[in-house]
Amino acid sequence: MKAKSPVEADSRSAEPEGGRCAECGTMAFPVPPICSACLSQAIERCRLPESGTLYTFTVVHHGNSDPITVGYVDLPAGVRVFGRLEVGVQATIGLPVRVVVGDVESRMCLFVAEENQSCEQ
Amino acid sequence: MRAVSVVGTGIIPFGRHSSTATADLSWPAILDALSDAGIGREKVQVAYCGSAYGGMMVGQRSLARIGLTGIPIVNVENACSSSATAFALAYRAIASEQYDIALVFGVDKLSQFGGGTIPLVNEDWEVSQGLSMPMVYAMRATRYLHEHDINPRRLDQVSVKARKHGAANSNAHFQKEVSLEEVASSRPVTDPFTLLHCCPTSDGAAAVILCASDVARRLGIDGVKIRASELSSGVFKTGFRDMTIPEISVRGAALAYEEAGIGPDDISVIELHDAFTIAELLYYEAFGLCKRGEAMALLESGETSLGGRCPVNPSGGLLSKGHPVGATGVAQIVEIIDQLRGRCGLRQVEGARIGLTHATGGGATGFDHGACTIHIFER
Repeated sequence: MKAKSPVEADSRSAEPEGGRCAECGTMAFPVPPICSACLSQAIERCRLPESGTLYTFTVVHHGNSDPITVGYVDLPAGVRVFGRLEVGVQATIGLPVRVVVGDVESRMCLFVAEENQSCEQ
Repeated sequence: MRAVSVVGTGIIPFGRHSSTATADLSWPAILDALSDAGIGREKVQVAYCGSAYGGMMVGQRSLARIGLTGIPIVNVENACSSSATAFALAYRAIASEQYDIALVFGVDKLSQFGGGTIPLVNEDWEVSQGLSMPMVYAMRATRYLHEHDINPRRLDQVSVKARKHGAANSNAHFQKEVSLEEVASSRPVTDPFTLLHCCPTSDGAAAVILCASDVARRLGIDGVKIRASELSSGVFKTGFRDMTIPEISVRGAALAYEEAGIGPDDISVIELHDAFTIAELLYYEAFGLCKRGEAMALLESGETSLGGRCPVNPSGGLLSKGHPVGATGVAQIVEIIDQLRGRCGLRQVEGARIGLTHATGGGATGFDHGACTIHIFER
C-alpha cells in the first residue's frame, strides 16, 4: 500500500463548506462575505454536496517531484471548485468524484474518485 | 467622438534585460515613437503607461529619464491588457476632445522574478490553492481537445508557426525556428503543454503616439486610423463556465466588428493573445475566422500563416516575440500599425489594409479572463 501524504490522510474527516445567499439562493465557494448576485450580506454557511464531476484537468510537472493533477469539479449546487485529484487516480473528463477538504488550515480541496472511495470503505 | 490615428511607433527588442532598470527599458521605445511621429516631446499633452509589475509610478520613473514630465501621467495595471487598456483610455480622451496628442507605452521586466510562472495575487482563492496561468490554459486545452476529439500533439503546430514568424522579427525574444519534434520533446510543464507551448517571460517595452486625425492632417503627419476600441472585464461566475468559449473575447469581438462596421473577412492581419498554444485556436473561433471546433483545421490550412489569407501573429506573437506582460498590448499595436504602413520587411503581410489587436488576461477565481482589449485599425 502506497504511503499517504498528510493531505490525503486528513482528507476524509473534513467536508467542503460553501455559502448560500439567504435572499436569492446563490451558492458560492468558498463562503463569500456578500452575495455577488443580489448584494445581500445574509450568507448562510452550508455543507456543499460532495459529489460532482471533473470538468477539466491538467497534470502538472514540478521538476523532480511527482506530477500532480489539478482540475475543476462542478457540483450539482451550481458551484465550481478548483482542487487537486487524489494521487493514483487516472483523470478523465466527466469522472465522478467526491470533494473533500484535504487540509482544514489551507482548505485545499481534494478530489477523490467515487469508485475508489467506495472500494476503501 | 472624433477620429483618432496612431502616428508613431517604437519598440525595443524583447528578451532578457536583467541588468537594465524597468524605467530604462521604456524610454528608448518612447523616443523612437516620437521620432517616428516627427513630433517633439513638448507636443505630448498626456501619457498613459501600462505595466503589471513595474511598480509604483513606473510611468513617471520612465518619463523622468527624458524630461517628459509636468503633464498628466496615468499608470494603468490590467494584467496582460495593461498597456492595451492604457491605449483604450488615451483613445477615448482624444476622441472626446480632452487632448489632441497622447503618448501610450507599456513596459515590464519579468526577469526580476528569476523565472517560472508570473506571480499572481495570493489573496485570490484559487491562486492560494496553487493555480497558475499555465494551468488555466492547460485546463482549457484539455477540455477543448476532448470536446473536439483532437490529438494533443496537433497543438505543437501552433508553436512551430509562431516561431517561424518570430524568426523574421529582429525584436523577437526567440528568433529561431523549431520543429514539431522539438516542441513535442521539450520539457513537460502542465499537460498537454511542453515548455514550447508556453510564452517566455520577457523584458520589453513598446510605445505609440496617438493624435486626433484632424490635428495630424494639419500638422502634416501620416497616421493609421483607429476604427474600434473595445475594453471590457470578464463576467464573474460562481459556477459553471464553458472554458472552450472565451466569453470576454467573443463579446468584445462582436462589439469591435460592429463599431468598425466590418466582419472577420475584412481583416488582413491579426495580433492576438497567444500566451499558450491553445489560446490561438480559441481566439480564431472567438474572432469568427472559423466555426467552433474548426480552428485546428484552419491553422493547418496555412490561412493564418504568413502568405495565407489572414496571417495571425506575424510578429511571432507572445510565444515567439515574448510576453513582457504590461508591454504586450502596445507591442501588438506597434506590429499592426507597422504592418499597415508596409514596414515589416520579411514578415510583411502584402496589401494589409485592416488589422486587429487582442490582449486579454488575468487569472482570478470565477473569471474566464479578467480583462480584454480589442482594437481595429485601418490604413
